Amino acid sequence: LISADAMHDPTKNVCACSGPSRRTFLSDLGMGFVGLALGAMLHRDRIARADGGSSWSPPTGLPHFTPRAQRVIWLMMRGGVSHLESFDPKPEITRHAGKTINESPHKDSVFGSPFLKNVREQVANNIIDKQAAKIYPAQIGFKKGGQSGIEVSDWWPNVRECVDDIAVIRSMFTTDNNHGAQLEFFTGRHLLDGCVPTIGAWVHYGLGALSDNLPQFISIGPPLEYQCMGATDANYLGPENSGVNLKVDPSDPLPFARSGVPVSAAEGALKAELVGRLNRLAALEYPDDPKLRARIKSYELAFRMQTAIPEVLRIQDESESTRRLYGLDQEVTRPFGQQLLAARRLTERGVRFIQVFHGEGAAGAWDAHAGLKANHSSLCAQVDRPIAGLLKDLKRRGLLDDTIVVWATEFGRTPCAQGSDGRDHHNYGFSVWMAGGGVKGGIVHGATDELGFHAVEHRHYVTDIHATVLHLLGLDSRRLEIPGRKRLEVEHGKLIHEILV
Amino acid sequence: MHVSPTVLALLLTVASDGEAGPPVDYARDVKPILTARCTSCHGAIRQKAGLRLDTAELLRRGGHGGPAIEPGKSAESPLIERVTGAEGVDRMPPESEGVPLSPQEVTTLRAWIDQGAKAPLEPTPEDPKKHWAYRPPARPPVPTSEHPAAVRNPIDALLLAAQRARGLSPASAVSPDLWLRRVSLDLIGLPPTRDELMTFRADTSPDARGKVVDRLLADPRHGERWGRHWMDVWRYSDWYGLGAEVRYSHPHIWHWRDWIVESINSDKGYDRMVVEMLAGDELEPQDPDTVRATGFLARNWDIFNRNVWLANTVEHTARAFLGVTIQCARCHDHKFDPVSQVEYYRLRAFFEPYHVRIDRVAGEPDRTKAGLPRVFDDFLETPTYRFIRGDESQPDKTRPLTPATPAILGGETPIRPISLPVAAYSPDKRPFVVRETWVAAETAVAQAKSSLEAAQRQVREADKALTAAIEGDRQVAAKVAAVANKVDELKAAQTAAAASVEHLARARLAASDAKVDRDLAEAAPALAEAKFNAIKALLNVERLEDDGARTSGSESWTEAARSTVAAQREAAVIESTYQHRSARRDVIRAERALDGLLAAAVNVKDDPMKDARAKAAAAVVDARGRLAAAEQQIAKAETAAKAPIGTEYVPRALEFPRAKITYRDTPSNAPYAKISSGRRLALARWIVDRRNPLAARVAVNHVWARHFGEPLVASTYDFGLRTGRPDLLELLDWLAVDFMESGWSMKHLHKIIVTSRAYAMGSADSGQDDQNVRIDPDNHLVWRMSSRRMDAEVVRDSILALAGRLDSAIGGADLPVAAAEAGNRRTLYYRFASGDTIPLLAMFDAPSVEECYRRHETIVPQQALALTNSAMVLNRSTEIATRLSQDIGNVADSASRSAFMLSAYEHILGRPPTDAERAECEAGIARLAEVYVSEGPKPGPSPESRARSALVHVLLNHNDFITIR
Repeated sequence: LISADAMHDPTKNVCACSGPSRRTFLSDLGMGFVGLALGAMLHRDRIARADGGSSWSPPTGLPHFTPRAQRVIWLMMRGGVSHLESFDPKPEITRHAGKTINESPHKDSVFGSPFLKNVREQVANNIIDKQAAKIYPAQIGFKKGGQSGIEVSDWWPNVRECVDDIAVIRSMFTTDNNHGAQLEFFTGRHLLDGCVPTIGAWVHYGLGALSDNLPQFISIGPPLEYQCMGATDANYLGPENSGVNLKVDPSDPLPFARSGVPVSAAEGALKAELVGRLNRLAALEYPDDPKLRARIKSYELAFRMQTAIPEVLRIQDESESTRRLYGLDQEVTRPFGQQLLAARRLTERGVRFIQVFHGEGAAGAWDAHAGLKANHSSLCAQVDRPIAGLLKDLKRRGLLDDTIVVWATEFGRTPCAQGSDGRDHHNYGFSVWMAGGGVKGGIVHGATDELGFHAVEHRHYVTDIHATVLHLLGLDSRRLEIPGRKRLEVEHGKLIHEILV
Repeated sequence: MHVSPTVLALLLTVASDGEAGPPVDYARDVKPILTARCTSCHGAIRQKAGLRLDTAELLRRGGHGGPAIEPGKSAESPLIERVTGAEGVDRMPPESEGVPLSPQEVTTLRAWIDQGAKAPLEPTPEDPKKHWAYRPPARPPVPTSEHPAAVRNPIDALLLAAQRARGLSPASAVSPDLWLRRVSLDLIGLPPTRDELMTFRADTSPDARGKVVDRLLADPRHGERWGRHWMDVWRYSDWYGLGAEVRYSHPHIWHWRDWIVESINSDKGYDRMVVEMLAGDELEPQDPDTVRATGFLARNWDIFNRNVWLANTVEHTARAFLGVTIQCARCHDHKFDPVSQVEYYRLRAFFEPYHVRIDRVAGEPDRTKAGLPRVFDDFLETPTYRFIRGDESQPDKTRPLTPATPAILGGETPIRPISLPVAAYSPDKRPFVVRETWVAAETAVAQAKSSLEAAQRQVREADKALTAAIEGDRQVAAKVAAVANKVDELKAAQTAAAASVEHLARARLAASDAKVDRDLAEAAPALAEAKFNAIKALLNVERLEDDGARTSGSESWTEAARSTVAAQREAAVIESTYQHRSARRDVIRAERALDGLLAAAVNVKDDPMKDARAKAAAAVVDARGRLAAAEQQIAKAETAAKAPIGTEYVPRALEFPRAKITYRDTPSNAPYAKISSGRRLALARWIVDRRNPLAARVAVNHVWARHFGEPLVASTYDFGLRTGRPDLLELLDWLAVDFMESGWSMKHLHKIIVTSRAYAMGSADSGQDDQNVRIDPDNHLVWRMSSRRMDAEVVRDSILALAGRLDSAIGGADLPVAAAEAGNRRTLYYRFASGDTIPLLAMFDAPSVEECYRRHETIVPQQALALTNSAMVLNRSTEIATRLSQDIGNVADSASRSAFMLSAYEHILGRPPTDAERAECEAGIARLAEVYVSEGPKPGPSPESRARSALVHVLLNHNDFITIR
């Protein structure tokens, strides 16, 4: 019997299911195995039973092989960052500016390419006419950075300083040419193909918790407002594996973290204690009820989280120089800088997977259909210094060794102009980068064609980033797969060996 | 030459110098590879190339291409050639089915073959038709029990027999108090009141429990509780999208929710409910109360993609009603169940013609404000094609597919097209629309008349004001003349005179404007009357046509049609004159406005009036344009009026444009089809046919799961081959047959379940010492009850009910989520759409709007935070404490506290406290009161009342509150 339904009901009769050993296991841990992880554990256990006698077994919470990294900070620029003005310099677009692609010498490499069909439109004819549009010159210059001399645009001067710690991947592609590609980056599945768990949920599901006081999977910044439950969706892995949305607002960081009406600390503590005592009395009546015990523990973690989360988000405790590093001294960099500083503090305290979104609005702020220069120069100014600050801060604290930083965006932008001064969505080729946690620094991997249109060398679909992240964390996505929930080959992705240390 | 395989194997083994490696075990090493990678295409369900690989014997037997293996000779075995993708053969499994076998796996297969392909005898897997769920249920005999006391009805007898056979014995009964709480929460979603508890305790009659059940089943809140359950299964969602753009589901879909609640309360047969949801428009096309049931289908509307929309419809119809995971066959033949890809698309064909529209409802012509979303058949000729590999851009146009149900499930679906009544294909002709159209035209006449009166009054008042202004002006002028020599008074008099002059000019303008407006208003009643006449004539001729007069070519129709043409022409002439007059007025006004601005023009560089002038000039141009058009219109109308009168009247404009089918569509104004395909009705009737093996079983299983916490078939939406015979199949089948024979009565089903002795069992086990736990640790045979956590809605509703706040109003338009925090309506009435749900619910595993065949039940700290910190819970706690203290008083002594605690436990947890709990609470109240006293005197409630509110809050956070034991 394989049943997703059964999985949806994680908490039935758990103790009994695998006999005394499980019960002992739980009590040995004093159920201190952290409420969140406990939820996940009960849940897995249920799946195990549902599967009957098959060879499948649920994750143990331990990696499948020796991990290189412990945690992930995933930065997502919403709207689509132009690869042509960030990490993929293409002199040919400036040389042939004003011509159509057909008039340029690159006609065949673009329109003759088999990759041209590699798109699935949600909205028909949503994109500018590829044949008629005119090539638009690069709107910013590039300079070499670091020892490696990797070229990065002048809108990213601070990240450029860190380029020796970064592996730039210039050969990404995706299949959705609308902003559903944001969610596609997290699930690996086109929006029209339905909802599946996101990468953060898989990590949560696969690995045990590092902290008693904090959720394991956190999401910061404007969440995705598309179908499914957004980028924190655990879907069939069960909601205990889904991300907790956190506002980096020390005054209200977690839903219901503060009392809705004023309650003194003494009163709150007394009530919490009384709840615990009464529930323990009930446990005399139901000594073998695992749900009751889980409830007791969840109240205890809640009580700790209530104080832990505000403490983590007290970024004013950081030194002046650290605050400056993240750009907290400047109006323009402060909002994103605060989020990244909070992300560092959370990972430091044991949160496993943090995704930080940048760019408000339904489509995402980076969606520069018009006025690309003004748009990108101002958005880069918001994020460049904080991102570089995060990398430098992680490095000097020794955290970069086992923290993976992913910088991504849902797609790039067209080499041709949209209107007079914009670029349209471009799913055929774009750039992302990774750093830390076993990723080789100072390298460029993959390439697009001369116009930056198609990814042509070492092409990578978005799930190749998933595969690489999971590998560095010591996980094998196939061993995480759940019977009855067949994942497509493409959803597993391929490990990018070339960028590993 | 013939060499026996064994000899050959021996030779090869020798020749290859032990390359066959360590001994390979078929069952341990080989079969798992074949099962994982091969048998979905080469197994019991499907035998591609005539080949089955699910037993060793079948491997040796092979398929169309001969044996798959040559024992002893891996190099000559087609199986190895295939899995290694040898030259000239297609690699297996094919590219589309995943990665090739790993070298390790190939080595294992080779070694097994080279070692002689030895395997133990194993049975050949069965024909899928024999699968338990594909055979119609028959009512099993009910065993007679040796323990009649343990048997209240056949559920108990069947359970007991199954349990005894395994050496199990049922758990002892739960306390009557907790039984009452359990059955109340299960049937109406609310805990019993203390009065109900007392009444129940006092009722010593043998049928005390039966009376409770009857009361709860008759309670309209039962429909709300179970309505919400079925809303999960049937995927209720209010509309959502981006901003105001509706992208998914439909506005006003709450009509369907109300239909669900009402249908449950009236105990409409489940079979009838399924038919109404899938084909209410075909079944009762004239009855909006039935048609609203099709919200089930309207909900799947998806602005972006018709194929996604239909895929959801097919998938969830199959999963909700049949327990078939047919969606797997969208891209390829089903891997596990005997359903082909073609069968998937033939099921889709039942839905191919269905579309969604919003019908006008009485009293509100604006469909954005109110309306009835419903489905109807349209574009009936649209063919259904199989999409190659599920890719919608690759339809297989060589073979259009007709509607049919999967062969494995048997039965027939005779499809008869349905001629629709006028009201269905032409909803504008429904009596209330006709009446409202008539009344609107009639009201317009009265309004025009009263507007005219107002305009006349305005003229009189403006004239009066003008007369007064003239008189005033005369007086100030006289005053100026009188003080001409008095320097000190002259200045003031002149200022007054200037104001008066301006006032007079304004009065003149106002009087003139009033007259122009009146002139226009004078023409309005005649216009309204002409329009009214035209509408009356039009409605009359429509009525005659609907009676068949047109087709019979009757004189009365001809006469009526001619009258309509005449009335319409007359209205057109009057309308054009009216428009002309109106445009002329606008020209005069616009020109005057421009003149004024020109007069005020200043000759400066940054002219502040520039934009205003340009706008005024444009207004003049616009008004002149309308004047010219009106002139032409008059000529046209007058010419038309002179033409001989025929019967070609202008029909009423269709007021009900279709919803867009896809994102890019423009709504169509074409009339609706007069025929419905009858496909959905045929499908629905097939689903609830007594011979259908699945419908009743699936429904009964859903109901059982929500009473016992665990379904009889764990995968509530998948009864396919992967789902083994359930332990309690006889019970499932007995319930399914009994359900059908009761007329698919859900209330009958509930009653038989909750009055069983099984339902009254306790949920505790006694741990490892319990023999039951050792034999059936997972409680598969239901030897005890399973405790459950309240559903999200039940948490909120129960707290409101305990505070005496829950509003008993039933139904109505969806309420905004923001109103829930302070609101008192039941939770199911608040908006429920993606990204728009009550925050408290999210903490308690509220269902996904996408699908929820069973609720998750998690235990996470966020739930603790919600109950601890929600202002709603805190405020309601205070109210509950106040209510409880009304009779007891608030004296800070042990007797009063003890009475309060008893009352609070019984009210909130449905049971009295134990002595230990009593002591703990008493100490708790004392400590809390001390804390409040130590805070010093404060206005508001006393420390004692605050302590009692705090205790109530603590009890709402007690595991026993949120748990259904």
